[in-house]
Amino acid sequence: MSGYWLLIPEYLLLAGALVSLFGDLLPGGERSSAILGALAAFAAAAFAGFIGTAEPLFGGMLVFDPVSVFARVSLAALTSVYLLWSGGRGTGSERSHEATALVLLSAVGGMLMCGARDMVALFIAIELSTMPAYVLMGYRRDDDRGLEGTLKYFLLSMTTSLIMLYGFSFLFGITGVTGYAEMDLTGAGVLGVLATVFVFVGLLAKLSAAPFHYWAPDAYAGAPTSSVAFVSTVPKIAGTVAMIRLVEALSPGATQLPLLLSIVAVASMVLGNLAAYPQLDLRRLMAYSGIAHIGYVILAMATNTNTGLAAAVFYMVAYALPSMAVVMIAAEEGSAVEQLSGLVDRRPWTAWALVVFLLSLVGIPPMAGFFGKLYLFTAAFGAGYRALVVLAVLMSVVSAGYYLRIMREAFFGERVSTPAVERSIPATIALVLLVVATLGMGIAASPLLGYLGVSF
Amino acid sequence: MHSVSADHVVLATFIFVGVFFVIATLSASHLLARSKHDEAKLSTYECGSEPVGPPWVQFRVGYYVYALLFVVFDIETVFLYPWAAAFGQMGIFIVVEMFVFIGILAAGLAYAWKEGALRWR
Amino acid sequence: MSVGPLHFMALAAVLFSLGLYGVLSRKSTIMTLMCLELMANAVNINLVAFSHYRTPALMTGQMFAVFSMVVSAAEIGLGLALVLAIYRLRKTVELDAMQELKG
Repeated sequence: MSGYWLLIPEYLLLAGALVSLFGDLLPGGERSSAILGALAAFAAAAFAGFIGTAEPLFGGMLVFDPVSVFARVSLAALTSVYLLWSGGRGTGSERSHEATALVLLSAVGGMLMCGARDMVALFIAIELSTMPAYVLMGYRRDDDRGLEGTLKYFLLSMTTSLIMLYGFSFLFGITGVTGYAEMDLTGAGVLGVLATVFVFVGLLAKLSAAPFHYWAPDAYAGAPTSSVAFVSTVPKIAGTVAMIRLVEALSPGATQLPLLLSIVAVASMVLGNLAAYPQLDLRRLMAYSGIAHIGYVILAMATNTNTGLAAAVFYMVAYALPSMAVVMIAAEEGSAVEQLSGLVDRRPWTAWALVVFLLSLVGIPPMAGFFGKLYLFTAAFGAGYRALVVLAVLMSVVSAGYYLRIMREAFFGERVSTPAVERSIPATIALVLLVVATLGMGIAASPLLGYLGVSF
Repeated sequence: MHSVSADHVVLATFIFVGVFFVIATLSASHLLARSKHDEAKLSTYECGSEPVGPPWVQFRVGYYVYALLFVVFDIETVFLYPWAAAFGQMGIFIVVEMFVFIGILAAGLAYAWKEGALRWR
Repeated sequence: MSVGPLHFMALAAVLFSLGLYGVLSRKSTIMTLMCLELMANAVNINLVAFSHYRTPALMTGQMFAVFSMVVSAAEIGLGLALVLAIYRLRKTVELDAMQELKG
């Protein structure tokens, strides 16, 4: 069996996770385990980029095409930045080495999801990436609200995974295979439709798309803000890749799929953006904004064209970067929107970084979010979803309202005195890297999409 | 179809005899035996030893950790059996792979040990 | 009458629906977890039955069922740990008591 070396990035992350489990025994304690994890994740990103595209592994179970490489590299890189930030910040908890291990394990699952082209591999990868997420969300064992949010997240997530698995069992029963390559639903009739619906209900719930989103705001609002920064962004990149692969595989037989996805897209865009308005808690606000952004991504998936699917992955990464950064700033400054007021006086550079992130989320050039939206909407428009694109553009304009409110609070809010935040060099580097990435992805959008096999 | 219905006859006879036997013995003992209840007779039968306390007690939470660790290694054997049946045909690599798998589980156990989960509290 | 794939599918469907109904209606978290287990077993029945009728030589479905069993055992372990943590704080595991987060 050759080809195991293609999984070196995963091995690195796994080794990092196992070492950080014993992080309190390392010299330097908790912080060094997070920095070690960040290094492992960085090495994983570098290796994933270096390996590049390759032949499928394990008889097509894992593929290494451009989409998978792009998602793997960005996922590992984001994990690395997150660990750098959390290591520098030092949560003060004596158990943060466990959080490092959980983040790395979740990243392993996410990276396997990016390559999975087989139902068994996908299922295990999904569970590997979500199970540590539950623990991260309920990390503070003495926090009542956090545990309640986690329990809701856990119960809904497990129910939907089982619904998805039930769908997988029917897909296997209909086609007799678990790999996507030979999967053909043509002529499967009602059972095929049922299986497709089950599978997508599970995936959409993991991505917190609209009718299945109830868990997200509650879970995020109760969880430690630093965990939300990871859980609300990185696993979604992997989820998007997993979903576009299933859209590709099931589309030939499932004719109702575009309709189903369009309905979900509209519901997510409208509900996410409107419900984000009145929120006073940044975590809750970002949860709803995440629902809205997933709506745009699903709109691109509904097209089932190469352009649309590549734009979906690109957009998801372009969303994850600034979104993670905003939640990180919320973790440092306090999770209520009004706690940001006067940020420009306290930490002017952070305030301007926040502007970059929020403008990218709105979709203003030259940030990554603008190009993400541009390609996304162009692809959907080209595939004939004109009315939906108009709605999506309108909704992004609406979204500017609540993002600008955060900015207004940071720049013109009342100057309240809040306890000074401990500055740390690694945490600052992490934020700077995210700013650079948000701007850089915008500038490099065209070559990146070219790599993903799209040219506009 | 013929053999199937013959099977059904056997099955029906079996069920009928089974149900009849239970009803017959129970009603026979009910009719024949004299019923005399005293305290010793009404107490819970614990294989001859004296029952201590009510039976509906909560078990210590401490057992939960052991149950969890047991499940880990119980599940491990689920993978070990097919591996043991197949590794003759699959070569050396699959042996290495299984040791990596067991190694990861062992790291988990070592972690639980380090955290003091194996100490009875 | 002989037993065919449809019977297994029906059994799995009944079990799955019972489990789903339980998850949505039960008040106790422990009962909800048990109902989730019911759903997981329904899936396993489906997988093993399909494996027997579709790919008897390859046993793909059986292997899938093994993986699904392992994953659901891990999930239930995690769920119970969560329930225990909540019980320590609140002295209850009733879902109706989980009302602090709204919106």
